Amino acid sequence: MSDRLEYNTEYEEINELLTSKSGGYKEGFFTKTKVNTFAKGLDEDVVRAISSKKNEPQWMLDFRLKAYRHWITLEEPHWAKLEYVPLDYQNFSYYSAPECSACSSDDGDSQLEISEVDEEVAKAFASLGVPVAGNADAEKPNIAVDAIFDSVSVSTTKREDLAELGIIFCSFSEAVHEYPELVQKYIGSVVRYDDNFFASLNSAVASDGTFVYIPENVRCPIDLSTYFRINEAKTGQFERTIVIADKGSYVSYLEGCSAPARDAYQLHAAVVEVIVLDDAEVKYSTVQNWYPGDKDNEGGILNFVTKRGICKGKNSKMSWTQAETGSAITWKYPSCILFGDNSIGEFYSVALTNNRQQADTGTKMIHIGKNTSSTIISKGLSAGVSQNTYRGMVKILPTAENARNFTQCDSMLIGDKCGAHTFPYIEVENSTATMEHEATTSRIGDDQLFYCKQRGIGEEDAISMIVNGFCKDVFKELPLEFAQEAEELLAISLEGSVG
Amino acid sequence: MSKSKHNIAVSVEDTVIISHYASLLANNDIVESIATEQLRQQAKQSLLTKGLPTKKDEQWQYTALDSWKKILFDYSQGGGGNLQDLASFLPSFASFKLIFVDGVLNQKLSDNLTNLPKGCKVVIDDKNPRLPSSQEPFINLFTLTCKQTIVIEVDAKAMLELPLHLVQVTTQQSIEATGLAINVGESAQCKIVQQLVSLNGQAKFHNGYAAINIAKNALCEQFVVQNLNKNSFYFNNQVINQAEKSTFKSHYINLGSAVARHENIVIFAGEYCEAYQSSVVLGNETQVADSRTVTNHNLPNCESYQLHKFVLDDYARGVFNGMIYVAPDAQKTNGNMDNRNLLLSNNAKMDTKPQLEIYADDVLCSHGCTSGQIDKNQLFYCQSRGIRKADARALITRAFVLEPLDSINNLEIKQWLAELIKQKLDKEN
Repeated sequence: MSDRLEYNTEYEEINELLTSKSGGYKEGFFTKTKVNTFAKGLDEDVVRAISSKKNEPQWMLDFRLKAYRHWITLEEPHWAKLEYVPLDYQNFSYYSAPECSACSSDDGDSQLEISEVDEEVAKAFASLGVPVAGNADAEKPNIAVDAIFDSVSVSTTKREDLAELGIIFCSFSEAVHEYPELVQKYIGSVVRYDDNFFASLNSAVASDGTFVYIPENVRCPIDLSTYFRINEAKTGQFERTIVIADKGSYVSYLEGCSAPARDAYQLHAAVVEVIVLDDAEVKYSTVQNWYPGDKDNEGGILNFVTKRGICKGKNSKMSWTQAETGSAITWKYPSCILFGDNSIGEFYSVALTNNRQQADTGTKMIHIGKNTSSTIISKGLSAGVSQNTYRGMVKILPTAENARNFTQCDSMLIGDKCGAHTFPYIEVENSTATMEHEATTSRIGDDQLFYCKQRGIGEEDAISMIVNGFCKDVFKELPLEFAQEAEELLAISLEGSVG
Repeated sequence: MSKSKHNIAVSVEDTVIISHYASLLANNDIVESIATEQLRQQAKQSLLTKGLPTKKDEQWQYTALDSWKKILFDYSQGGGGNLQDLASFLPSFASFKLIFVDGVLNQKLSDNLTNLPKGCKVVIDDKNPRLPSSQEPFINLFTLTCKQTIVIEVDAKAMLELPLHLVQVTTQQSIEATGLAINVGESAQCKIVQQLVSLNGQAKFHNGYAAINIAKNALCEQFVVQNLNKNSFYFNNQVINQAEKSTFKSHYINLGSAVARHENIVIFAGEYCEAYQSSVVLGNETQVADSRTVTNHNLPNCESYQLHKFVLDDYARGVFNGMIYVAPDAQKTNGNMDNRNLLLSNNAKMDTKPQLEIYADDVLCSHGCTSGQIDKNQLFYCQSRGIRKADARALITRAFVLEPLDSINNLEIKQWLAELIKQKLDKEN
């Protein structure tokens, strides 16, 4: 038992070291601006109101109503290893948008003109380092950004430059008006309106999101990106993003997010659909940094996300990379349907939970085409009294000749009150398929720490070095700037964790 | 939102099946204790409210029970069939044999219970079957239908050299729900071989339940050889309680049955325990073979190792489900689980769920799992050295599947098991 006591004091020591420097959640500020927010509650009228607010065509309203009518027959799922009281869906507001004098809310086009971004909103994005029209970062050379504030997209940069190449990069609401045939063709084609509880809810009340179309044989020269900000209290954000990569194209898409520190739960239920055609490649990276709630589990974002990509064409490639550090609850399984022959699916994930956060995340790789291959690298870190679960499925259907899968999921426990769990489902129905799965669970070794300390590296630096090394396989898949951000986030999120 | 998936009424089909099994012991002459009766009632109620498992149950999504539901099994009326062929099924090594024919101890064929090795007691208890209380449907079916329990007591410090060999022979279409209670005393050691054979094509519904308690410093090694015919159904739930510094070794060999499901639940109730669990599962035609383990590391300093190998041919379906649970205070746990599967046919299916649920930080836990076909390079290597393709395949398959037997110390038992596995593989080819 003396051994055990020693560990405790060791953790306390690290804990003190880290808390003394703690910066906490840096994005937790709140923007005060005039907003147009719906009253709390959800019924068919609210769905109609959202649709009319966005002046949507009939087919979109029909899609919403179909989803809504299906949703009311469903029950909130509780199979995941997440503990939360059933949500009261009547206690959220389903639409909130910053109001500004220049844009009357009934002109139907919620996309604001360049000069019309609300001053306060612009300030908020500036302090988050997100380029929006009019701020100094807007001309950053390597990135185009769609900034979404609560239920609407407030600015999309670099659209004209991209349009020259034939690339469509705009908010989802705009796409509904301007490219209805594309939206109609692809919406619900990967994640059906009745796919699951949260996907149905999203289909019914989808707020805004990003629409990307890369034409044939175009390699998108810059990273496309969306930044999501939830601001209003007691609202839900329900973004719907569609990315279509036509034959032979390539795009790297990034996604970032944050929310003010509030003491009540906020709901985020997104749906992302990615369609990859012949020889195309989509790289989808996410750094998820929603407000995780405070130490006692007050508030935070409840993050229920359905993300799915389909490799529809031959030789196509879909790659998901995610760094999950925020949210009180994460329920997220970015998946790949490998339909085209020789298609490739990848999933790289780092999920960090601290304090009372709970994460149940992983992926699904459905092999349908011949010679399809998939790679899953998942690194879970749990600290504090958090629970971190990897739940993944690899399914190899009889048609998937010579399919190949490699899965590695490692968990690291930092502290002795947290949990790390692994629930893989592996279903093989073709004998020519080869699949490997391995998983380990361990903690930062005493000898590793000792080795570093012996060489004059402080305990704190040593831990951050070891943790970064543990996650390296995933971070190297992130675009450069994002990788830096993820590493910094990791350091911040770990602060005060150990003990 | 009022609809609830969990309160769907139990289907008529299920009610008929449950009522049938509940009625099996209705004409029993034995007056049962109130406690026993209560347990049977509870089991019946639980089954009638929840129904039998379907593919929608997380734990049963891969194990189809349709074919089992089609036959309502009764207890054998005795009178046994021709037992001449039995000899060929029995191993040559010395053991203390207890032979049950269609659920009834055959005194003539068995060794005399008065000649048991020193330090060991065996009682076949049909007055006070030790019934478990559970939520598991097949444990409840067991509680509902169990007639007798074989109670094996090994005294403290007894070292039993001679393996105890239980043979359960089927000659008639019947249900068998015989309990097994093994209590191994402090510092004692024993080996128990449990063998299930069919002498003809008659279907058997074997629904076993074993409670194994291993005291401090003791060692219990168990072999289960399931070789029923392919019309039969095999279900077995084992709960193993281990006291401080005890060791449990279990080897499950799955050769027969249309549907087979074997589950070990290991509970460490003391520190410094060790558990080794292995399975060899061969399946062909339309066999469904399910092997599952739950290993509960409730206390610190325990170790568990597992190796499960499946070879599936034709339309066979294999299921492995393993769970290593490490409680918040179970520091210094070492848990290791390996599952390797070889698919020989394009129609065979393998579903695997190796799970870890860990609440302690100073642990070393891992699981690995692979599925695939025979490596072409290995085949080529053999062929280039003059070994015919068919032989090479057999050679590689055999080498693959015999690995779990490596941890068996007793040479005779090991050879016998290897021979059984080879025979089944050869027949397939």
